[in-house]
Amino acid sequence: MRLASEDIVPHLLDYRLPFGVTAHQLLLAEVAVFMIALFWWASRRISTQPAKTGVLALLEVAMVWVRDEVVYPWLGPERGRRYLGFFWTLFFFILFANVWGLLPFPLNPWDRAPTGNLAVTGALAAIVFVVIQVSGMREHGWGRYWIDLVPPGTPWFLWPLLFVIELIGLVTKPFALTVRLFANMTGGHAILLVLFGFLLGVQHYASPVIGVPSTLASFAFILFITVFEVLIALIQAYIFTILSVIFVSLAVAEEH
Amino acid sequence: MSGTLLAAASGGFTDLNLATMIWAWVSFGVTFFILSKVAWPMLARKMEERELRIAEGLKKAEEAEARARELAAKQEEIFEEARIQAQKFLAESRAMAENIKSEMINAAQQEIAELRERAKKEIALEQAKAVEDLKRATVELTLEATARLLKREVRDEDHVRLAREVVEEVALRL
Repeated sequence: MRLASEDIVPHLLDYRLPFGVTAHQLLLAEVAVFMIALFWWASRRISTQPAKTGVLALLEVAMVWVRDEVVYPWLGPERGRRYLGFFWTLFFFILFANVWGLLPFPLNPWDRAPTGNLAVTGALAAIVFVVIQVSGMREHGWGRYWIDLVPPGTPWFLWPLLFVIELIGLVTKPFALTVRLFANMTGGHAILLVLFGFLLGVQHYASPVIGVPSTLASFAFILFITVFEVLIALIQAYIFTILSVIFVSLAVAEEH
Repeated sequence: MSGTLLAAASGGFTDLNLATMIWAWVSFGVTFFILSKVAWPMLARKMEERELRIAEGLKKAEEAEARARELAAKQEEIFEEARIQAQKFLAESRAMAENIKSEMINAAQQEIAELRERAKKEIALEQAKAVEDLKRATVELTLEATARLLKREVRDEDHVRLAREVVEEVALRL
C-alpha cells in the first residue's frame, strides 16, 4: 500500500455533518458545555481545604499554576485578578480543545481537534487581539493609546510610516498565535495519521515476517506520539495563554 | 479510526470558515460569560481564602516558633542563673565545710594537746609520786637493812635525813 498525502489531509480537515454543522463547530460546543459543567461542579465542590486527590485536585493545581506562573508574574496580583477569569477560560478552552482531538471513538467520533482549524485558532487570537487593544485603550485613554504606538520624539515625516509599522506589529502578534497553535495541533495529528496508515497498510498487505514487527513498532510509536500529543496540547495551551498575557501586559504597561 | 473519517472534508487548511469562527467566538464567549458568573469568582475567592488561611497558619506557626525560641532562651537563661547560683552555693558550702572542718581539726588538735598536756602532767605527778614512794621505800629499806646490820634500831631524825640524802644523790645520778 502506498501512503499518499491525499490519504492523510482529508482526515485533518473539518467536514460538514449531516445535520448542518461541521465537526469542529460541534466539538467547540462540546468543549464549551464540558468546561461549563466541569468548572460549575468544581466551584460547588471547592473548599478552603485543598483537595488531595481526584479531578478537583488536578484542576486546582492547574488553576493555581495559571494564576501564579502565567498571569500574576506579568500583570501583578492587582491587575491580574481582573483578567484572571478571562485567562483561565482561554487556557482551559484551548487545552480541552487540543485534548479533545486525542479522545477515542465514542467521545470524539470525528477524530479531529477543533484547534487544528485556522478559523478556530484565528477566532481565539482575534478575541485576544480585542482584549489587548481594549485593555491598552482603557489604561492609556482611547486616543492616547493609538498615538503612543509611535515612540515620542519621532520626526513628523516618519510618524505615518512608524504608525503603520506598529499597526502591522499589533496584527502580527495574533497572527503568530493563530499559526503556532494550528500548526502544532495539525502536525501532531498528521504524524498520528501517518502511523495509523502504516498500521492499516501493514496489516492488509505485508507478509507476516515484515508485518508483525512493523505492526508492533507502529503501535508503539502511536502510543508514544499520543502521550507526546498530550504534552504538546498542554504546552500549546500554555504558550498561547502566556503570550496573550504578555501582550496584554505590554499594552497596559506605562510605556507600551 | 472510525468510518466517519471517510466523510468528505470541507475546504482546505487555509479555509477560514466564517461560520466556524463565529462558533468559536460564541462558544468561547458563552463559556467565559457563564463561568464568570457561576464559577470563576467562587473558585478565585476560595483559593484566596485558602491561601490566606495557609498564610495565617504559617504566620501563627512562625510566631509560635519565635515564642518557643524566646521561652527556650529564657529557660536557658534561668538554667544558667540557677547553675551559677548552685555553683555559688556549692562553693560557699564547700568553704563553710572547709572552715568547719579546719575548726573541728583545730579544736580536736587543741583538745588532743590539752589531753596530752594533762596526761603529761598526770604522768609527771604520778612519776614524782612514784619516785617519792620509791625514795621513801628505799629509805625505809635502807634503814631497815642498816638496822638489821647494826642489830639496833636506826630511826632518829638524822638517820632518816642521811638516808634520804643518799637516795636523792643516787636518784640524781640515775
